[in-house]
Amino acid sequence: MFIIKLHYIFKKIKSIFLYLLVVCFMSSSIAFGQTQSYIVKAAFVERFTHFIEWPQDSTKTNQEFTIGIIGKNQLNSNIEQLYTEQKVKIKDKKISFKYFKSHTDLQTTHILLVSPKTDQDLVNILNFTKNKPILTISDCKTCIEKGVHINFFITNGSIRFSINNSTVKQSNLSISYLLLQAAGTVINE
Amino acid sequence: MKNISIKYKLILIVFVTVLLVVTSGLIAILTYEINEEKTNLANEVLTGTKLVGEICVSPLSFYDQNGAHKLLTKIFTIEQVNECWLYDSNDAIFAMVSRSSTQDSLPRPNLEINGTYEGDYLYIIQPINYNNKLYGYIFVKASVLKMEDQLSDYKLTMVLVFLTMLIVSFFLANRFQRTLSQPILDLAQVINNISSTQDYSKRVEYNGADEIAQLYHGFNNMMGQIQKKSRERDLAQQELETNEAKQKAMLENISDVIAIIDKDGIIRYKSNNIEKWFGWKPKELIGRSTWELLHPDSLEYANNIFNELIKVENVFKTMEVKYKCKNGEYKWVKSTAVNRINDPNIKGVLMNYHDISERKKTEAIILQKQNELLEAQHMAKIGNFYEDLVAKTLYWSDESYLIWGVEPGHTITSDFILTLIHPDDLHLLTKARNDAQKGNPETLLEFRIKRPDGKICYIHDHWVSTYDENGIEIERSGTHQDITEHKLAEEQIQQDLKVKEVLLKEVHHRVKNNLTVITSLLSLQARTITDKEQAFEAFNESRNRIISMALVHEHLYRSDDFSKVDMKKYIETLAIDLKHTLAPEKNIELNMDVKDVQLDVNNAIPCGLVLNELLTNIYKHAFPNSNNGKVNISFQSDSNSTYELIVQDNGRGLPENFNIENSNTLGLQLMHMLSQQLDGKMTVKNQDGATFKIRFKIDQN
Repeated sequence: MFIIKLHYIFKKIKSIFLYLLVVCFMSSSIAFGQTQSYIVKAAFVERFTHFIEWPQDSTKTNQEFTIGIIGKNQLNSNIEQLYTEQKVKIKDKKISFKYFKSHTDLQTTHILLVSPKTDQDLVNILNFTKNKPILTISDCKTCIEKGVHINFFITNGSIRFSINNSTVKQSNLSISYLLLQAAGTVINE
Repeated sequence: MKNISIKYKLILIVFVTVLLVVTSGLIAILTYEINEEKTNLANEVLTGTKLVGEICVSPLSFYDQNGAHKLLTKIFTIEQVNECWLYDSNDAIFAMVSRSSTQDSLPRPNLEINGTYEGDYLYIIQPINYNNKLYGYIFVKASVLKMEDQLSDYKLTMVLVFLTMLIVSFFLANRFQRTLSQPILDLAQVINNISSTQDYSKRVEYNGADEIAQLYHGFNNMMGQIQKKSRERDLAQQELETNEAKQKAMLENISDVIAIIDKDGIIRYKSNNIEKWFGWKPKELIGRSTWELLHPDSLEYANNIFNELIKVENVFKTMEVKYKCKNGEYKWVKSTAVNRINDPNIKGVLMNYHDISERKKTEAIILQKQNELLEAQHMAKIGNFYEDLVAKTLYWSDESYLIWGVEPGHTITSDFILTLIHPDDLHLLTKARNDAQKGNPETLLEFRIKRPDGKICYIHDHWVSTYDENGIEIERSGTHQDITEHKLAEEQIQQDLKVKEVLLKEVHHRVKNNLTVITSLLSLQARTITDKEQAFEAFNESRNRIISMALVHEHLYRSDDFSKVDMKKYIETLAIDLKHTLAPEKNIELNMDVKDVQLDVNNAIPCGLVLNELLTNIYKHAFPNSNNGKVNISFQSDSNSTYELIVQDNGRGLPENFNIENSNTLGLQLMHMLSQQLDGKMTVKNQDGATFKIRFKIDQN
């Protein structure tokens, strides 16, 4: 009984620490402008998972929550380090990162961070993820219209995000109205 | 309240009852409505708060304060909400909205105040959870002023209803109270009438069968009982007054005064007859200390008895004290007192006392006579006794105890007396008792007793016996007289008579002996006379010898005991007389060491004649040429009845070749003869004068 209680306390402390870290990221993003925005975005990625439900068959068998990364930007390059340092878990699962050099290497993951070099590259990637329960997140201006599920943007100095709800629905992901409510822009076509 | 008519009391009771019921009802309704309004308001605000809090999850998740602010404004769709605060999960304020420009001090997300009303506000605080995760808190402050405005109208309506009810209740109470009050008022009027006229025959009438009818019926029954009791009481009162008059007459005529004094000695009651016996009126004594009325001689005694009396309840004590009369005279009273302090009717010490002055005087006279009798008995050494032979009791007076040497108070019995009788006289008493039993009415008896202290005493008993009709002795009363002194004196007289008889014979015998001695002396002396001068000398010597003998007899009749001669006085007198006779002009010092020795006349005369011869010889021959000299005379005895007479001088001494046995002088021959008569031995020492020592022993048997 004592061990169970101790474990609970440890978990509670850990969760509080993580939240503090996210708030710190957010505060940092405001305090230091865009230079540290990837930290806020990394925190947002973890928060997105609170409001999105993956199909049960896609998560039941997997012991880990996989995040795929294709293409390079500041978020893609640092998210693994940030999560590892903070020992972040998503949906109580350990996170594993997979890096893909090109769309031909792509595998099924829960989240795919997309940073396409060209539009064609984006099309190829989206063709792979189409109708699959892979949440795609990007950080480019036109990606959302082309089918990426969530895309970060900055408005009035704050990092916000837009959601392409129609592609989300196609991918069998269940998204909470609260996330849609928090989004800066929601595309439903 | 007690002086108010029952009519108004009933109105007041109904009025107050209605007032309480209506007030309670209205308060209950109002309380219910207020609670209902509060509950509705709380539910409405709580629902809105939960809805707004739920949609605030996303702004909190993505730190969208603007979005949160927009969402919070939706809470104002509830009119009563004034302020709304949003906290993150760290209790830090995330966003807030307010209807007014000023807000109260920042509240803290304290869940304990959820749903509470403070002042004019309702506080609602709800945690914001999503998927079992806490995202923050929403806190709403809603005003209840609007609700109170609504309730004010409600209260006004209530007051109007309340006043209406009061007015209606007053009129109804005034109308219906008559049903109850009128019969009671009628009954009260009858009671007043009865009490003023003392007419217990009056009754009340009522047509009905309710409780008032029972009350009337009960009243009529009670009046019947009172009427009956009143008659009985009048009879009892008459009897009581008669008894009181009797008791008063008895109390006034009895010799005992009744009194009650409290535990402090204060007089609380005195019967009226005290005036008859002591002159006081009861009211003159009530409230005074009883100790003021006692003679100082009786004060301590009475105080001690009183202090003992008040310690124990219902204890009786009697005392005889001197009580002060009103005229200042003191009378002896005998008082009996009982402690009734805890008796609520008495509450003190109940006393009765009466004058015993006459008895005291009689007792004093009797006591004086008794003392005189005792004194007379003591002087006469007579004690009296009384013996009840039936009850086997024996009384001795004090003097009897003294005579018999028995401790006063010792129980005396006939057998005990026998133990004190001298064994040789026991038969006398036994015989006297037997004679008395056989019918000798008067007994005179002398016997000896051996007292417990060992002293032998002579007792003269004289008693008179009393006999019953059968001739059996039943009582003895008589006297004991101590006749020991009388008996001893009588014995002494008898003894003295015998002594005198012997002495008389002895005197005659001595006279004859002395005359014989004188005859012999004269015969011896006559042989030595050859001329006239010698005759003269011989007469002188003979005279001295006769004086010596006469001196013995002089000392004898001057002594208490005619048979003994005090040798010390005799020798001193003889030595001095001889010196004055034979050597008055010479300064011869006489030193005498003579022990107190008593000799009978048979030994004293030879001894005196020897001394006469020695001193005559010394005065005539020891100091022929000198007027000064010294003579030592010693007469001693030891425990073996051996006597030693030594006569020593410092004169010229005896002639050479002196031998007393061969001496041809009459004096020395006499000395030799007398020493032989004494069966003594004479020794002579001729050194520094002459020393004669005669040692003889007297057989005491």
